[in-house]
Amino acid sequence: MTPRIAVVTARYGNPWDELSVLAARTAGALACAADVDVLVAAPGERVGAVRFDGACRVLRFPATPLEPRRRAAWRQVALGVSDEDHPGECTCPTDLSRRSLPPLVEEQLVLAEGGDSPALYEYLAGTPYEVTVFVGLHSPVSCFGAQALPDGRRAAVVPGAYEAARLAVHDSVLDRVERVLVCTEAERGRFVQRVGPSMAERVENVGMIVGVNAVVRSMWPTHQAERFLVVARDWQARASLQHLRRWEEALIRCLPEGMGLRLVGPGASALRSGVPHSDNRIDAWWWVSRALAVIDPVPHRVLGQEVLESLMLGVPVIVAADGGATREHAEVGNGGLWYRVNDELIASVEEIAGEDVRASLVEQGRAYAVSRFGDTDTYVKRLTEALLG
Amino acid sequence: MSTEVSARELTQRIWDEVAGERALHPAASASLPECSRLVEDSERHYVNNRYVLDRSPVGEDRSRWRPLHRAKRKLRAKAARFVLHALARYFEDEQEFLAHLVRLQNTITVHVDRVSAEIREVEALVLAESDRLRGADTVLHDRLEARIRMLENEVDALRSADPGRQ
Repeated sequence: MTPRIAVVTARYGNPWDELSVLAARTAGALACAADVDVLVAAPGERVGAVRFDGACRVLRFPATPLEPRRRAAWRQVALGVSDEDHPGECTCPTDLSRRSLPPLVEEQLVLAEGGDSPALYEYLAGTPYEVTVFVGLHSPVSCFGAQALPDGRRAAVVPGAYEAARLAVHDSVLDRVERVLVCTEAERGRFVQRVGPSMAERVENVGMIVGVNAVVRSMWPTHQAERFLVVARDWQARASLQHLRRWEEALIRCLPEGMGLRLVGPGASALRSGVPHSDNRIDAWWWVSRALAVIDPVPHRVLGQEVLESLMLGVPVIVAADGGATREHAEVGNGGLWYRVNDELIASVEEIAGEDVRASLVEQGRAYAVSRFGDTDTYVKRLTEALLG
Repeated sequence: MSTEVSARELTQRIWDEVAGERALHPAASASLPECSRLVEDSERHYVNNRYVLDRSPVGEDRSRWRPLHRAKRKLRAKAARFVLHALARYFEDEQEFLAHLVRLQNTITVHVDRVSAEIREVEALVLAESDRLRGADTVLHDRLEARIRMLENEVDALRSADPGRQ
């Protein structure tokens, strides 16, 4: 009999969003060996709205929306960090600033992430799924969904997003699940450190599957003389546009002569700068495939989807030194460089502009990305073995 | 077939070069020392707590007084009340003056603290701008070097193409 699996997530269907991508790929891979229901906490939906996404049944439940101001306020009060002031920079609490928080404050921090859905928890508790996979450790659907799950029901979590706060409520999810499914060695190391050596075997690196449309290379005419860099990031999430514009202007000022810039990612058009920009995935691939290099300045990435796509398209990357997954792809795959300050970023651009270095990085990076993240069969096998044995 | 490149070694080399470049052009700093906020100063708290003049006559335990002492005390109290009454206007003016003085002192304290914080902000801005300018200067310098090299190559090429014009 085909097992029934629930994939529970607060975000689904946004190709720019890593959590959405992780949920979709996890559900898609599991659908090869099981009947998969994707339970989505979706603000504005009516109870149990059912749709289909490939082989998966998608059930949407009403949920609380994400309110950025409320989230920022709680994070400022409880953790002392402000995403508004330092968009894109690491604002993690240090060992000195990290402190244990009262349960009420922890609950508010989790609720402020948006996506709390009592209807989903009720459905989850009453439906006998063999395995429940929670996507997004820090989301309310994982924290409260795991609590609602009856005893003895098997569960796993795909953590999805980096959070240095280490709340006790997240620890309770990690205690409840039998598998923590991560997609890079950097993430695996972080969770092994968190759960302790006795429970380290529960943390499993199942990898991920990333694909690009190779046709984009030949779809449009290209101007070979044009040399440009692509900056790929989320330009809208909780970021101060003014700060981002300043960063972009500083980068343009320092670029070598004749070097252009392209901005891709959600919210790129909101910058209203003179730099060409797009939030369309096809445009992004097209530009990336023709770029001298792709820059990803975001710290603590969990998957680094744009970086992997760049490596697959044969383009070296320049990433933040504290980029997490992106740094791992650049370092282990020998497909790019990493930087801490703007001077190092500019020096890296100049280095990559050299043909020999670039050719080596391209070849090594592509081999790494294709072998580790391009094999669908291996990913499906790893995931189903981890969850279904 | 391209040669194998280690991203780690390459990055380390770039970081070393950038650090070397920075060491050649050390950033100027005003080195402003740490200073405590004047608004938290204990002397200011003392002045704020003690500026009100105490104009009430001294109260004492009357039960222990002997009759002679009681008469003396009464006389002294009467004299004190007379003096206080006679100088009441002076004391009120003095009190008003002290209150204005303390208010002025508090305003000055807040302004001094604000100016101090602003100076530090300006210093941080100047340092950041100086950092940016040094970066831009390095890039400009490199571009000029590259242009000079290119011109030299062109001159060499022209000379070798037409040796008679040397």
